Amino acid sequence: MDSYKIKVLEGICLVVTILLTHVLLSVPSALITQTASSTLLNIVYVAIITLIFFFIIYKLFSLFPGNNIIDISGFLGGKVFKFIYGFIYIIYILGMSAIIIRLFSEGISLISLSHINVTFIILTFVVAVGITNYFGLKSISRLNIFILPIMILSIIFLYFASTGEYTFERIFPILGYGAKETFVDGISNIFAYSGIYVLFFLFPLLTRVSDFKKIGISSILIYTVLLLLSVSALLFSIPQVAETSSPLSLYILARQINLGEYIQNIDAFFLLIWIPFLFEYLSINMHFALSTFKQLTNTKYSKGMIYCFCAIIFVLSLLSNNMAEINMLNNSFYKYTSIVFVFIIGIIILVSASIKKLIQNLTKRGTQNNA
Amino acid sequence: MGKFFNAVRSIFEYKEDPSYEFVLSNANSQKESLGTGSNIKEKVFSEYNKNIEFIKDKYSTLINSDIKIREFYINVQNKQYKSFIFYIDGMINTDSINHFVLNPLMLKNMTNTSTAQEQVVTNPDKVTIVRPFDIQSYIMDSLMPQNDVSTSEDFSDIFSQVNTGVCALFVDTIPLAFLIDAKGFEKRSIATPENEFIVRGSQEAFIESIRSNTSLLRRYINSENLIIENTAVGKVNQNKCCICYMKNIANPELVAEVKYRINNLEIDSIISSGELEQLIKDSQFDLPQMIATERPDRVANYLLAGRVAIIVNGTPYVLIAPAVFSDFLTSAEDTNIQHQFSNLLKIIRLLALVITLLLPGFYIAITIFHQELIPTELLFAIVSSRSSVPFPIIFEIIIMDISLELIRESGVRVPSALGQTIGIVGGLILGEAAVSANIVSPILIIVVALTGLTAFAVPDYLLGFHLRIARFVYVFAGYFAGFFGIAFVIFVHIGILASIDSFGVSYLSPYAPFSVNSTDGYLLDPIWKREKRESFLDTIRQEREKHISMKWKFGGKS
Amino acid sequence: MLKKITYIIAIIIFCATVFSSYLNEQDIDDSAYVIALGIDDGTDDNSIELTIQIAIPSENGSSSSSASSEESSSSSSEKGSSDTLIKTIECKSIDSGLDSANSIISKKINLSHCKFIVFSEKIASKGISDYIYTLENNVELRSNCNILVSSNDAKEFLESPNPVLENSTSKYYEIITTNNKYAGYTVPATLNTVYSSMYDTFGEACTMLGEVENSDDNEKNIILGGIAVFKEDKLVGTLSADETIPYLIITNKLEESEMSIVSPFSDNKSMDFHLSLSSKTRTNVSIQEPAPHITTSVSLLATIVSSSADFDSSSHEDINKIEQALADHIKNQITNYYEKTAKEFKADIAELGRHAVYNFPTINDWKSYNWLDKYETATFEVNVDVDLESSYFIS
Repeated sequence: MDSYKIKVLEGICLVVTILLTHVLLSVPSALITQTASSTLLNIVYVAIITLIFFFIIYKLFSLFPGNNIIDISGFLGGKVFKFIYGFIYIIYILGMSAIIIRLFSEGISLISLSHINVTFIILTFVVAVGITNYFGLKSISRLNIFILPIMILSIIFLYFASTGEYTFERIFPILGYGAKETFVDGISNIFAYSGIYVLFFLFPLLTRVSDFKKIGISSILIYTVLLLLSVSALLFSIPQVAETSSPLSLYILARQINLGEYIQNIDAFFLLIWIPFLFEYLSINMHFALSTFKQLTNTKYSKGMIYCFCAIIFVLSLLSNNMAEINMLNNSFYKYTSIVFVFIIGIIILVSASIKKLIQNLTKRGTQNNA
Repeated sequence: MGKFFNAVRSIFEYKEDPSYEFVLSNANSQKESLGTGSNIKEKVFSEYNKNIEFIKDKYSTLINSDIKIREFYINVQNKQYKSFIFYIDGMINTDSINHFVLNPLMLKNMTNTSTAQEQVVTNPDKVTIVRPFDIQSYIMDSLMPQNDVSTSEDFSDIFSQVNTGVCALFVDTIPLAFLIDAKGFEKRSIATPENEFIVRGSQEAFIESIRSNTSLLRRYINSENLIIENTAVGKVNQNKCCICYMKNIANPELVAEVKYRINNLEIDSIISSGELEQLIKDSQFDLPQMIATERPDRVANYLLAGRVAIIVNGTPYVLIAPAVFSDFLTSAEDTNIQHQFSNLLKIIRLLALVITLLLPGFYIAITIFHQELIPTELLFAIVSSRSSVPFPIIFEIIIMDISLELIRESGVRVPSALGQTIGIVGGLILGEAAVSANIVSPILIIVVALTGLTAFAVPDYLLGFHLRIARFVYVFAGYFAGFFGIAFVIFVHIGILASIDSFGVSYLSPYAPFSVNSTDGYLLDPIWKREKRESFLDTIRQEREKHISMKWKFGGKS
Repeated sequence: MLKKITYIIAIIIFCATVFSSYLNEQDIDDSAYVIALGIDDGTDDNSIELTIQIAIPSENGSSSSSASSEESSSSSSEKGSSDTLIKTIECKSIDSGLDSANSIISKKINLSHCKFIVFSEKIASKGISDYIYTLENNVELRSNCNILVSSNDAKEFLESPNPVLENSTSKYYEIITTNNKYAGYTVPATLNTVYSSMYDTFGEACTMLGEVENSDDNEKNIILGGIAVFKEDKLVGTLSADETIPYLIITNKLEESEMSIVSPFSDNKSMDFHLSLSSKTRTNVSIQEPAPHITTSVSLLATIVSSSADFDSSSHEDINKIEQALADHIKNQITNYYEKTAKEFKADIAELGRHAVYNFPTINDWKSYNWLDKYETATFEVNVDVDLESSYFIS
């Protein structure tokens, strides 16, 4: 892998892309299913928790300048633990990519390409990912600067284009199922922010280490705004009873845009924007898997693994039999796994490593004082 | 069996990364000597050695190939005065210098051995006035059979005169220089640019002779900081090649990189700049990575912005490095006219690029996969117009595209007498007849004609080729997978663009990596706002104009 | 050399597998575009009669031949208007009907340009939520497709249009549904709005109402006007075209309309007005026991379009008199509307529950209040304010 360093804007685009992809899929409808009309309150609440989480990891990471979470896990538990943790991360990333590819391919197959076998659509995804990773992080992060703003514009356009269809009163009753369900049970909605795992890997890629804080806060805030926009658009358009964790939430919104006699049914143009965005997300994911692999195995040349990882993703995405299975995987398995893996285990490792480092520093200072 | 395993292994095995990493870093700590001669305060020295060393330093004569210094002796009253003339080759008339400067000074003066003081008759009363002998007036009055000779003591004045084609004579012990007008550069026998026509701008173009080209450049830039280095390319034909840059603006690493690439080519011969471009460009994708232009004003603009120009003897096309993608959508006229007009033209060119690349692909994708996008009435019009056409849409598009390419290619070689005929045959008969014969539908003719027309709105010739090839890929992608296929190809296409670096500069600058400098964008600012040079070039001298450049309007004490 | 051959063989295999499945693409020439669907009661209990109206794209608007009639056991075809083809199929559900239609029609059916879905009154009284659910989930169907209930059979309704001012039936369908913008006789009822209203807890659904008009010389045409009122998913009643205007006023969908009242100056003359909303209608629902109290405040802008010259248009008194008369008339209309929908139909088609829901903190409280049943007992208060602008040049 080349030694390309990224600056602030590229870093923000990178993190927002990872976070935003799930909004394209099932996150808005899953959130609404959980907390109904109090979803907007709940999102603000969860965003604040995520920001606090970010501050904690920022402070803990500043004890290990220039390292990513794999290095820190190696510091904590030695080579074996580092290898296990990194390996689990690779499996997590590849598995998540496979689920997303399968979900989206099934969706596209339903929408427009009904006579093409889903396998070929998945193959196209995998090939695109392989090609950009062959060019390296340079190509991926520069591509992102073009694709992400267009995606953000499309979400904003989507929100404002269908205001005619909105029933703003669907935000009431304000507490949804109840205060406890909104704020206590609703904390599981933090899975919407599970893309934040990319911040764990960001440090070695930055040109200046001080950019980390800027990147983290900006990306979380931008994502929160976009999530609020898409969730409110969905909440206001569709009756809550009919909300059943549909796999392509934004597509449902795009279908109902009606801007006059000649601009109707423009959802196909949104596909033109969302598909490159999804390719970009998968490329970034694959890049992190490859760089983790390179870090674990200490290889100089890891581009050969592109073929292997692409093949693994392809096979994993073909595992489930139908849309219902993959939907179930996405909603329950992925949701809880990512909360545990990203938020809980990540914090535990960071805190333990910081404690170990502090103890080491204290003992070192103690021996120095004695000597 | 072994061969099969070898083949498989060769796919997965470790390959030395062939990527060539060159990144432009900040040009720092180079003292900038200000450009024009007007800031040089020195006066001509009396000592010969000081004069010649000063000139050699200021003009960097060791590397500047067209600055000529001719040293000789002037014989006056049996004394030998060491002298030299200095001029720029290509700017002066050599015959004039030989016959009317060097000849009188060197040859005709050999018999002058008189030591008598001069006697001058001034009035009929035969009152003679004896003037003391003065070598300066002697040379000026008696040894210079030129119609336009002046003297000057300031180096700034001397340099600015020499830069316009004047020859300067320095004589030992005389603290001034004689400026002899012997201009002889090429003027307007130079052709008008054939392929880069603009309305408001100079109508000169480069020609094949390298010295004439360099003189054209010198006249536009008019500064001693313009360095034109000679080099030879090709082992057998040793073709002359000049690398031009501004000493006080261009990043020295960039210059070094260009020189390194040109001097490390193991090739027998290079005839044209096109061949040189293909050998020194970064990436072998079919995108142009250096600008090739035949306009000297455009080259001058780029040199003053901090880029490097490469002139190859025998080709009127000069190469400019580095080049980014938005450069291929700009024309030479953009800086000559108001920014509103040039921005309008730039937007139209960008639209033309999108149309020529994507329109056929979109047409085929929408009609096959996404019919709900078309308004109902238009859809029925398309269906009814296609009702008697026997071929599928993809076949129609391929036929019409290939016909368009054939017409274009034959139009290049058609004798001018037949030019109109080809237009009539191609346009009217093929298009009209094809519709009447129900081979293609009328709407497709519109699509293909629009595509062909907009291809000519893209200024760069090589980029046009790239778009023609890419268009076919988009058509097939749209045919096979609708918008999904087109999105895939767009993604890979921009990914390829993003992976190219041209001489250390990202091909998609200034958008990726993003730069906040407002001068950098695709759309132009008003001329009074273009204060800095392009940031991705990392020039020595970043500032191009002061914050208040129109001092006549906003001057005063600021 | 071997590497090159391997690559070439791999590309050929890839192309052969991938491209082979692309031969079944849906070309633009291979689709039959449905512009309207009609659903009638079938002969059996569980069956429906699905009527499909397909556009025949013709050159320059000239008419092409209509379909010939075909006799077969389960289907029949009829002549439609000159540029459409109408087929009727007896089937168990909409999707099975579309499937069977593919065997009769030469091209594949494509619903992406469907403008109308017509239910007959009979089938609407039985309940249409299943059909609405199926149609909403159909990928091809546009969600702004208009839903209509016809007092005649849907088949007769679709055979009747006789577009004179437009040169295609699909254009006619598009334009005729927009008359609520300038006349106020129809309501904008699309698949999306009907689906939302049916599944929401704020109110009930309503659709457009249409009928076939038989003129003297046996020329048929369709008339759109009025509202079909649904409770849950069954048709419970209709409102006439004149009764649509109060609905539009309450729901803030009135753009322009004409209204005629008895002149306050002489009983046997009438005054015509051009109405529009000067500001949004405010509805306030106060949750009281035993019944909610609904207050509606309407603010209208009226211009006199025609009248007899028996009043002084510059006199304040006369103006006030006219304003009061118009306001009273509109107030009566709105009150009648409320009475009818609350007492007779027991269906809140204006979705006034939206204005009540903010009083409840949680969903369970709202659900246990059961607004849809409470609407029947609600009390109403209407305040109408009219501002008159004269449009006379010569008074």
